[in-house]
Amino acid sequence: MLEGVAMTNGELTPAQDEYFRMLERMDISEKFRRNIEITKDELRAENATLVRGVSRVQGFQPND
Amino acid sequence: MWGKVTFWLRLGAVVFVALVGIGAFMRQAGYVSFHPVFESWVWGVGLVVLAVDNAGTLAVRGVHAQRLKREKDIESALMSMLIILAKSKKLRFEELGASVYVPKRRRDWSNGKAHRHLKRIHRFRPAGFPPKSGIAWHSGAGTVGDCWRDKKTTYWDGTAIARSYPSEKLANLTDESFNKISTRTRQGFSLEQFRNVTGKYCEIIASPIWDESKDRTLLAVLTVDRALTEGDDNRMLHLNSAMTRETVQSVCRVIGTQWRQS
Repeated sequence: MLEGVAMTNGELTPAQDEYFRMLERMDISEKFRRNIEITKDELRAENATLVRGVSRVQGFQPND
Repeated sequence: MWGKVTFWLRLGAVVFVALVGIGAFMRQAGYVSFHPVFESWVWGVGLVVLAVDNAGTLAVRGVHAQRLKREKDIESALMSMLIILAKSKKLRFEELGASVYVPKRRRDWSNGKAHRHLKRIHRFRPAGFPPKSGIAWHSGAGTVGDCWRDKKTTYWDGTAIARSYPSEKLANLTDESFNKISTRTRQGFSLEQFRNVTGKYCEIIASPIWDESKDRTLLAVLTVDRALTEGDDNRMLHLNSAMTRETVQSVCRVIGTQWRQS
């Protein structure tokens, strides 16, 4: 997999995933833990609209 | 704020107690006589001062504890990033540093005009090296100023400038020769600031922290830097990779969310 390239299925990228996994291992407040979840959800939603750096256009049909 | 209020209250209480003590002494010595109502007032005021001071101290402690918790969370966010970068890029942890800057309005009393500058509110540097530069960052000054002005992730490679301006050459720079240096190399610095910064950092990346809920308002700038050490000329640069950018931008997102939700 290419380094830092957003995946298309609404998941976190490897870099994002690695960072948040490290952050969640830290001794942080419950509030911050909840905000990390919010951030991850927002990033997943954004990644779902990215196909290797270009926006997925509504109605686009990939070639068979 | 509360700290200042309790300070002045305590100072007032000390003066009050001193006056009451002097008054009591003078009454005892027969120099003055007080009306009985006055004594009740002294007691009343004393109790009010005591109550307000204690309530204020408790409030300050509570606010302080909350602030420490928030600062610790942000420090964890910065530390996680540096650990990831050090691990994945095989960098020395102690060479890395991260800072968060927010815009502040400052009045220049010489001309009465207010202008914005960037104030550092968080600094995480495991080894405390290099020391703070003491520069008042503003739009267009340094990588942090460039990021603030252009509102986008900005990268700066300092190795070439450090090679071109060794310490002896830096010391010999005059205002005239400094003004001949290209604008891009000077990075909006004065001669003194240029001397202070050059040779300190190998590379810097700065990224904006947005408030995603408010039509992407720019809240702050996050910087990550790597100190320039012996042999950096022969080493690869690491902070400009796609992986680093994504990690730095993830930190910006989580800090932005934390501020938005608090």
